[in-house]
Amino acid sequence: MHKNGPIALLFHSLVVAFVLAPLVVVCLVAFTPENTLSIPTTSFSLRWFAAIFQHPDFVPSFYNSLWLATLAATISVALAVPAALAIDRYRFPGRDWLNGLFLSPLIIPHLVLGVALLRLFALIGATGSFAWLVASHVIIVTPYVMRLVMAAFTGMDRSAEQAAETLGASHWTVFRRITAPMILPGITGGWLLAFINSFDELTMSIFVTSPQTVTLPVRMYMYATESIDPMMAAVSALMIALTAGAMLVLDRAFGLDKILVGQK
Amino acid sequence: MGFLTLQSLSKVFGDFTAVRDVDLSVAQGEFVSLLGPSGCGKTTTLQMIAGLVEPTKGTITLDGRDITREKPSRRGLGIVFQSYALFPHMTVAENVAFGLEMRKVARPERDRRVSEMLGLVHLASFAERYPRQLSGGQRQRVAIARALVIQPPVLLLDEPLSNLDAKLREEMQFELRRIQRSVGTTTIMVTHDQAEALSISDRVVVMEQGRMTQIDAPYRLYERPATAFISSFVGKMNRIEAVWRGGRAEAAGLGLPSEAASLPDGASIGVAVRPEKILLGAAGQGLFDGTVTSRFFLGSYWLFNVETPVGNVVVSLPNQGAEPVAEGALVSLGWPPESASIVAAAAGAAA
Repeated sequence: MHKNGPIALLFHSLVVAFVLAPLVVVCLVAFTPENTLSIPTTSFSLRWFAAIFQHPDFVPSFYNSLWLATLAATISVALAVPAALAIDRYRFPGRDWLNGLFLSPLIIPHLVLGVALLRLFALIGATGSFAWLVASHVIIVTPYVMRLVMAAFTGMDRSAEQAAETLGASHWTVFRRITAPMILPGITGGWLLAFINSFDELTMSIFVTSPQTVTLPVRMYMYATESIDPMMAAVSALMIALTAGAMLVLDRAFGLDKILVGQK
Repeated sequence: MGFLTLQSLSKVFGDFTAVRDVDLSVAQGEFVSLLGPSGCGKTTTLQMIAGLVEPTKGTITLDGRDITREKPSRRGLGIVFQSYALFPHMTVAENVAFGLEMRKVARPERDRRVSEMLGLVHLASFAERYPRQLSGGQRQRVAIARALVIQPPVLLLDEPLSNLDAKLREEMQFELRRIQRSVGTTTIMVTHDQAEALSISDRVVVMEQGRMTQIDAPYRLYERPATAFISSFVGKMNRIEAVWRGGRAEAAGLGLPSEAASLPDGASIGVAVRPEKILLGAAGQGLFDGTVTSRFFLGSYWLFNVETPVGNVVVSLPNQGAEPVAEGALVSLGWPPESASIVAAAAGAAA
């Protein structure tokens, strides 16, 4: 294998430091005993973590976001798999148009989408409904799932499906027993990306959430516009810990390489 | 009427005719190879038999039943794909059991037949492995077992040995033939490798540009190629450009012995002689002399390029142990008349 020279190593280290440093700083600040955003120097304190759980709004918002992201990612997978299958396998009128439609939320600014949906929801009297919030998140996360599932379809050996068919399997059985397991890395990867994107989404959610359906990012945003205190850092640190924990569990259980890259 | 019959089977893709009016009748238990270069339509023909490609025209009958428009899942044929197409998420045993499962064969019988089949392909101890843990040859045998376990009336093999290295390929040829003999399944194999086709088939079908140009037993194909293309594609062949004069072939003023032919005087022809049919002798003792320009040792035989008045001639000689004539040596060449056939001249033989 090719070995990195000292300059390349230095460069790589700088890139990694640039990516990780803000996260490290946020996590450190979360443990400050002070009332301002500062890196703890004399002692560590958990008071800002305790503050989150005493705050009446953060915990419900966290559950809101968790539910929202889970539902949005799952529904989007259920839509994207058949859509990707159709676009990959068949040539039909409107195919390119449909492909473009599914990917368009990537291009449209979330701000525009938020304003448009706010107007739409007001028109149909759905303002503040959780179901419509889920629907709007499905729209913005579907392109991610589509991309990954499409890539999985393109990379798969079609002859395995043909083999199953010649062995007597019906189309549905072929999909259930052969196709779905073979594109599983694409599906799980797409679901994860969708979940993270939905959980993280702020711009559009500001417009389409109501006081009952406020998501965690929106809650944090609203809180931060009023006061900046280390509780924000504590929330961030918790989210980093949760994500890292989830990744670790996934890696142990399935192997991240296998889920996201499809390596065997 | 054969067990499996193709009647004027054709496939047109847009303005490209991949397969043109193919007629073939295969007897029960027969091993037939479809041989040809890539793009000759042999794989398309196989896929039409399998039901994976719909024929544009023609009919396919299996045991008296018209299966031309039948779904692949209902034909019940066993197919071994070029890539083996194993199910990567299933173990060897699960792969082999899949077809039986689809046929709703009860568990105990399924297990019995799977282990019996794995025994036949010498993979009994690999039942619980995944395909990625197997070598190329083992995967190939799993694919064969999976196709045969459903006891198909016909086994279709699509370039089954092309992904194996040379040594393994040779072993698997005989292995394939052994398995096929022991179960007696009618088999059709697609290949571009003439050695493979000749060594294991009962009959070989040569395809050129979508057409079948010769259907014959392997040795007859080799000895009596129907077209110039076949003579060069199957084995090595020397072609000497000659002119028919006075009832015999002449080249560079030399009379060349050949099989009899009735041709007009002055007709341009080619004389075709296999390298192993040419006798190498001491200078002045054959038909004409030549100089050995290069010599290759190929283990079981030697190959010589000899520069002669009629052009370069390739001669092969079995390895008898001693070292044969060296490069630069003057030798004589000769052959009995029955070893040389008259073929069309090069200009008209651009098939």
